[in-house]
Amino acid sequence: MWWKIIIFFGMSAVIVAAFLTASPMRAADSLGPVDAYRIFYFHVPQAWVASLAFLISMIYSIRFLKTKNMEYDTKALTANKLGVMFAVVATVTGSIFAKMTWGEFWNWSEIREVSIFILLLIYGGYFALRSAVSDPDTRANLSAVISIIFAVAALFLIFVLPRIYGLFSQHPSDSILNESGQITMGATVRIIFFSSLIMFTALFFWVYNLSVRVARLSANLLLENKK
Amino acid sequence: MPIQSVSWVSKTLAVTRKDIVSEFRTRYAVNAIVMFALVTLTVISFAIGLLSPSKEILSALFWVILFFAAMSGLAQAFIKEEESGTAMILRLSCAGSIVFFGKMLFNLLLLITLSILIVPLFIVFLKISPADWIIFTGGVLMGLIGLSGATTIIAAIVSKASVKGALFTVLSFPVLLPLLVAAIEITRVSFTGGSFADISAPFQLLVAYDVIMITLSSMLFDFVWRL
Amino acid sequence: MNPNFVVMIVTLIIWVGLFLYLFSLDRKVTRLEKKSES
Repeated sequence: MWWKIIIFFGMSAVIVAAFLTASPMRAADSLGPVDAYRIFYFHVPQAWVASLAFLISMIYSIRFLKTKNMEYDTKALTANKLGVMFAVVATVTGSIFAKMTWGEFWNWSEIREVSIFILLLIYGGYFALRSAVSDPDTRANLSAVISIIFAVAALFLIFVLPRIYGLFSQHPSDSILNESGQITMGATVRIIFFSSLIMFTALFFWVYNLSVRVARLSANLLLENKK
Repeated sequence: MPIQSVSWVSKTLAVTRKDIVSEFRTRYAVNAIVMFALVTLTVISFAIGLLSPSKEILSALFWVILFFAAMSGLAQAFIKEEESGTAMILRLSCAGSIVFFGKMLFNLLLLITLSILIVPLFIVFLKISPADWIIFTGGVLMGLIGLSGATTIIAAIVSKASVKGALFTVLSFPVLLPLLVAAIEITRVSFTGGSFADISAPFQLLVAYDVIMITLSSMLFDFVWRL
Repeated sequence: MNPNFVVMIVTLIIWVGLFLYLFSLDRKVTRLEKKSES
């Protein structure tokens, strides 16, 4: 109960601080309006939560394959449903930021944009597979297997690709990582950013917990109706 | 005659040989894959052949052709088993990993056959030739190994779905992306002429990808095969 | 009015609305769970 209060006031505090304190970027170095960089407080946590959700779904997929317990399949599915929502929000906020600072909504040589796009494709593939299989048991098994394969592929993309990809990226080194380096995260910025990260994560777990409970309730209801 | 313990290698090769023989009879997969690659190559030649595209673009186009040909030809690896009713017998007669490696080997042979046909045509139509054949062949070979290694299990997954459509391509693309990036880079270096030092990074990535994907797929294959 | 202030107010309103919705949902789910347990 109390942690919901914390989430409420914590997130509210983050929102107030994000807009009333100084912008995380120095005016001299910023491209486009300096206030646009405030989205950094929200956009990065969103992308982080989207990746976290996918990780959770992979863990539950592994547990499902080990135990064949359908509850784990529901948990993996719910994690992916929430994850894709956060991923879409992260992509849109990132794209708006890109337009304001770098002048274009999308750029294929920007590794961060490619990464989030691949994540969206992975989510899309997962849901495409689920809707293509009618038998619940088969669907659960196949979804679990593809989740694990996707997760390994995603790990490749996240960790190994930037080394190779850098070879043919001509984009001015304005990636978000660089930007963080430029910001050098002054103390205030750091506090707000990490608070936002914690708040978004806590919010995700709350919504996730709710969604799983709702799914469980409706499954039980279905079973009761059949009796 | 007492049943000798047959080595798993010969069992695997038996599966591959069975596929080769049945392929010889009908030639479905070979036709599909070769014709698709041929058509794609022709379209590309017409579309941009006269514009003298750069070596970078051509190396990417080379893998585009291979990728889409693989998408069209490798999806049926397990579907034909399910449809002709031989899947049950295969399941009963040997372990899942034997089926996996046998099918993977067959897919690899299919792709190698394709490459032997397409590479000369590619060179002639688009007026490009690898400056370094060792790098080129090595890159293509490792790429094809990864291609068949990663897609065999996805073909098995798709064979269990009720609505197949473009599912194979949708599922394969995120998984194959690291491979494509590395392979395109190696091919580019082979076209423009470079040293082994240039390709060490993507080549290591390719080898790691092949090993990890094949290992992962062989571990997960039983979960799909035994459904 | 400072544009940052405006954006902040709008964001806060959206957040408060979202939170109240989640909170009421949480209560409904808890009530349903208690009912199905009894």
